Amino acid sequence: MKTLYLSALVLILSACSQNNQYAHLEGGRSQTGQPALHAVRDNRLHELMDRMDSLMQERFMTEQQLDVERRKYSRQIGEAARDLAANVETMIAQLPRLQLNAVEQTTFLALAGKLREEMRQLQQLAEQNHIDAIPDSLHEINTTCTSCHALFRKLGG
Amino acid sequence: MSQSPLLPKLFSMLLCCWMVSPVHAADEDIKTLLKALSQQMTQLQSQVDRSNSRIEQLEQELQHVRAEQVAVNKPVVGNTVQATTAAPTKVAGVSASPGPITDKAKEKPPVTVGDVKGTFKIPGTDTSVGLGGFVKMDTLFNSVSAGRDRLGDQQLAMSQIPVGAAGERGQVAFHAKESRLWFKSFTPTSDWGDINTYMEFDFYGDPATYAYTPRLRHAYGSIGHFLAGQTWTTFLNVAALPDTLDVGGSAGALTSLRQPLVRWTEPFSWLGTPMEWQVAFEAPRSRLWVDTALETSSSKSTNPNLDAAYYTTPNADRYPDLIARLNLNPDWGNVSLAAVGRQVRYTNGTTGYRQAEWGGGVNLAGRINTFGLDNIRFMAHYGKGDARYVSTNNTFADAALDQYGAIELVEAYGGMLSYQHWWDKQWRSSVTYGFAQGDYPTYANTVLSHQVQSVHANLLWSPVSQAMLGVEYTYATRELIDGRDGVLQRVQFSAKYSF
Repeated sequence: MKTLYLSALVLILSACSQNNQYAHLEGGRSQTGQPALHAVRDNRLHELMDRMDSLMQERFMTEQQLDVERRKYSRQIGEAARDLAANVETMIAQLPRLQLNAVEQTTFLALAGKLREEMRQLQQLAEQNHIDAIPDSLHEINTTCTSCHALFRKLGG
Repeated sequence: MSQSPLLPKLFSMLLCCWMVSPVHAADEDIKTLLKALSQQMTQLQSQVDRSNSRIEQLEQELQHVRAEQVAVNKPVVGNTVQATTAAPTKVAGVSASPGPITDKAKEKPPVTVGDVKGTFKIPGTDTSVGLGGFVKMDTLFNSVSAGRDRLGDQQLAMSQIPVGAAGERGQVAFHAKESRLWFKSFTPTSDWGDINTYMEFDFYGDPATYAYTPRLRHAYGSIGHFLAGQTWTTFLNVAALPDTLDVGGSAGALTSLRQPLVRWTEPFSWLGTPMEWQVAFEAPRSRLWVDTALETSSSKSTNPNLDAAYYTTPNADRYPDLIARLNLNPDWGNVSLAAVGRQVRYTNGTTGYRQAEWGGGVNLAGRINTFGLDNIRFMAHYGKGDARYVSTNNTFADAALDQYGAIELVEAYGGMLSYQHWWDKQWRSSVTYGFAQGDYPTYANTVLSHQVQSVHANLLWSPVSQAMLGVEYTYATRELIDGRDGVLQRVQFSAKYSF
């Protein structure tokens, strides 16, 4: 049995030594070198969506238990979207520090408003348990985030 | 046609313009314009005639098809949506005979998306129904066979791991018995909460290698917080079961216990953490080792590979198994603590001799998220007289009766630890270790199973969410009270396609 215990230990240790697959998602670093709050919450949204997708691979829970799990993740996605929408005000408060010209300020505010509206829609979808529509909504949010980062991240330092 | 009265007006206006104009050079231009307008009107009228003719032709064809369907007594549900949404209408201004078929089609409600993922609503009701399942093919290469037509060759059955010389070496098995079919329904009610029903089948009804007998896995309904029917025992936290290809599961996991029950579930929140408590009455079934002095059986056989034949199931129970469970459902996973209390009862079918003893046990289980989608799953349980719950497929008995008829509960305990790692969104692995042990009184047959252990390690690939291919290695041992043991090594390939 010593062989059995040893092999189990080796297998568990090898499984534990892995990388965080979400590392590549961490954009929007602040001046502290830490990911900005909105980037952390955006990653949280993707992680929750991935968890919901992974339920497709469960085969011991009954379908109704899976529905309960989906509703749980849906609720958490709604909460994350609400937090991220609130975080948009913090992003707007950073505007003076960015030293943008008038046109750039208008663009920044438009993108911030778009993000806030998309978050509101995502929250609504999650609260109403419209699970199938959530991936498209997340994709739109990603596009807005990418646009904003492409335009302003260098300017913001 | 609204265009027709416009022509005289237009003509009058143009005439006025011509009369008041000092120059008559535009005369020819106006004539040309009127001529062009007249040609366009003719073309439009011709197009409308052709369209109406085509609509009438299609209506006749539809009527003909419906008549044929009625004749062969086939429902037209499949056409309902199309018939309703694409019901032909006449172009404005052209008379058409109203078709009775079109009106009937409009009366039929369309099939709509249900309230739960993967369901649709029964027309005219609030009930959403869904159908699904999967096809799973398993190919198993066993280091040793469990024997002719035995379940142990198709899934891990701890009590069937051969000890001694029994069993063919290097055996291979193919089967698709884990393929499943399920049906569910969901009906919201305003007063009592939602009504859910669920049924699920697989094909493990007969352990014979080439028999595909359907087996009922789940059949339950619930209204609000009250559930009744057959499903997973409340003692088991299903979320903690490891992600193994082998449906038999790990040693130490309460895998195969689905039984009839009634259960109340009450959700609540404590310190911001969603929680729930559950209380259930579940079907009792005492499994006993009985000395041959009390009744004739194989309980004292020296053959170490008799599986269930050592045990007696009197079906003489008088009380349901009572189970209570507390669930914590924080964002980082879930943890549950369950307790069972039950009476283990023996009644001799010939003499009427009776013995009973109360026993019970506890089970701590959960799934904790770690990095990304990775998670740790665990179970740990201990009890006296609850061995039926502690390990699968006749591994241990709940109690033993000696030659004088005295009953003594079997102490049973076990645990399981599993780590699931997602290499990316398509590839994942699980490594699982489990053990379970039953401590019998000293007078029990020494060829009974004393301890079982298993290790599962797998690599699974899901290129799309509806398909999965995987390979799994299993190492499992069964040790008898007398110290002898048997080892099973298995490599399993599986393909699973969901719908």
